[in-house]
Amino acid sequence: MRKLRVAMVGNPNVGKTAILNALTGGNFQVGNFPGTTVERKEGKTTIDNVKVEFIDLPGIYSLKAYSADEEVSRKFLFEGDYDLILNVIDASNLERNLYLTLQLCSTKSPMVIALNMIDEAEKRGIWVNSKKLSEFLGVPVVETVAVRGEGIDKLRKAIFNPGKCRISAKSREEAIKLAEEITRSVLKKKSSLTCVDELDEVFTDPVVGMLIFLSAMWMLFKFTYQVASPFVKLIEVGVDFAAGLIGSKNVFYSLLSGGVIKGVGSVLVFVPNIAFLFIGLAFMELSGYMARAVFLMDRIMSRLKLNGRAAIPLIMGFGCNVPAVLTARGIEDSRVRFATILSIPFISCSARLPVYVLLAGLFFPKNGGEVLMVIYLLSVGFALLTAYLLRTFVFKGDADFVMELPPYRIPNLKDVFMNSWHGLKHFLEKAGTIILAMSVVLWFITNYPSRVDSYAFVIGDAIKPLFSPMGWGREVSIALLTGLIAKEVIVETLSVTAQNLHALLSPAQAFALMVFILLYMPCTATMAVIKSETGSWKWVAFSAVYSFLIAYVTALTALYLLRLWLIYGFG
Amino acid sequence: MRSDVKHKLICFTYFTVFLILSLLEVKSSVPDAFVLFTVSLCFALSFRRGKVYAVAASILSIAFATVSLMAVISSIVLTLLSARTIDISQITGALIKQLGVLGFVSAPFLIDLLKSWRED
Repeated sequence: MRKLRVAMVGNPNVGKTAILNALTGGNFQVGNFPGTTVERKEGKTTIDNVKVEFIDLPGIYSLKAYSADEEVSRKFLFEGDYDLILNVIDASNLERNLYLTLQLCSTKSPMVIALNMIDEAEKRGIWVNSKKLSEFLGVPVVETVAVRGEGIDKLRKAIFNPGKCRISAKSREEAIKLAEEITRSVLKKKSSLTCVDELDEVFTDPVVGMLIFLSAMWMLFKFTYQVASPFVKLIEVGVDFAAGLIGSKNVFYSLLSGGVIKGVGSVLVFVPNIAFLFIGLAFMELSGYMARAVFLMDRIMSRLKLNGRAAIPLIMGFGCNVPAVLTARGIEDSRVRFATILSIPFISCSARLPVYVLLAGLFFPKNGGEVLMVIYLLSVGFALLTAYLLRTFVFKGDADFVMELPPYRIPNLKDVFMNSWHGLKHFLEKAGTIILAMSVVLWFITNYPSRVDSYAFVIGDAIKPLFSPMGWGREVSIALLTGLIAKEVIVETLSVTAQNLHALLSPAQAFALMVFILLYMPCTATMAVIKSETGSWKWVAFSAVYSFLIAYVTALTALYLLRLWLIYGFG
Repeated sequence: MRSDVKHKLICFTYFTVFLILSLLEVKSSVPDAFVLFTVSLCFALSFRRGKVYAVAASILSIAFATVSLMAVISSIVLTLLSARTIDISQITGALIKQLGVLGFVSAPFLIDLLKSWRED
């Protein structure tokens, strides 16, 4: 069978991944945010008996690479193995997109252009004459609306008849001039600043914008914590029913019900909270609001010697620290990139959420949402403080940043669920692998040689003195140790080792424990990506030791402050 | 009535209502009161800075009312799942309150917003 390799190239946020999904029937994560794709993705399909491979490259503005993800695209275009270029262009930003197109022409590769998002361009009063554009450039131009699948069949046919550019630019200045000339002749524009465009004035206002941002964050927590609660209850009931059904007649049944079902179930019970968090985040991102939040944060970020681009991985860290560290590749300045990577472990990932939900629900049933908000504010505070300290004392120097604000869009529900599913899948995969394995190990060390004198308690007793200032017992100590493998395992360990958390912890101790779990050492997967992204074990060791010390001091302080507040604050 | 006078009158009404709601909410939930205060502030600012602030306030209040409505429905479902006795009048009251807030906040500016989105 014949094979065809197509390199998909374009500016950031022009819908390359949406086109890849439409062409291949794939479900890669799409966004309304520059920098959604940080590594190349490959999708395969068969068209007219030809096996076609699409390589979706991270968005670039020119062939000169500034950041690590742009370098991935540049390197592939010059050294990679492909038959033609599929250049995706945003019809609303023709001139800027053509600047890259003209540079791509200089590679002399056969090319097809997908003029995407023509519906949005028309809504904004922009009409592009695609036929004339095709004549100018000498390559086929296909109008598409990828999210609705419009023009995709034409695009499938066009990739078999690519063209070679009639024109190309020898210098940057020439490319700018040519892009300007072509745009002038193929584009008609009715100047219209819409009401929706004007919303930027409010959302990016330093005072009102910040109040709206904090309100949005609170709504996100309310959505995650309160709205998901019936689903949590349903899973709880299901897990108890399944464990009860199997019983513990012999060792095997005991392992199955007490180890596997109870262990994995104690983590699965938080799937609704995590799913709702991802749905909320996806909604904010796809609507275009997240980019405004990043823009707004740039003012604060620049005071902390970071830039707005650093806010993207930091916000993504709320989902999972691992992809967040990878997203930091999009930061051009290596000093800002390193400072951001080392701050990300302080951002509270979704894996830590089950622990907070469990402890907040048990010890602060009436103020769970508020406690959760305090924890998240602490998380942001420590991440930003760490970044500032690193930029001041270790990674010194100025760093500028430029970001394009995507248009506001009513989020497509399919994309919202798809993006949420990508995040949730990662969590479920861990539940099916690491957590399942840990469940069996935990079952063994908590049941042998006997329940009252198990291996778990021996280990717990050995490390307990370290946490004696906080008054945490061996059950908590062993949970913190297993939490290094994956933070979700903490809940599972507590559910296996501790029968009654109220007997082990006071509300102040529980809050201090939440603070400690928020800040102490990254999980093994995060440490592995920190190593791969910084290229040094030195920074992994730094991250582990620094975060442990911060966590220890802060948890101890929180414990004593809360004790004082509970004694004097409430009389 | 002239459209700018009508706009100011609506904004004033909404500003007052949301400010009162915010003050009443402080006792039960400070973050909820904070959101309501932000909405009222946006309505107040639309007096001087233009209609776009009222549109932003509407988006925020609709989002908030929707999340609150979902939270109320969730608590009802949770009560049912926990097999606790349900006070029908209390539930009906809470639902009507939430639906009322949602209807109230979404009325005039949502229409404007949708119109502008369709025209864009």
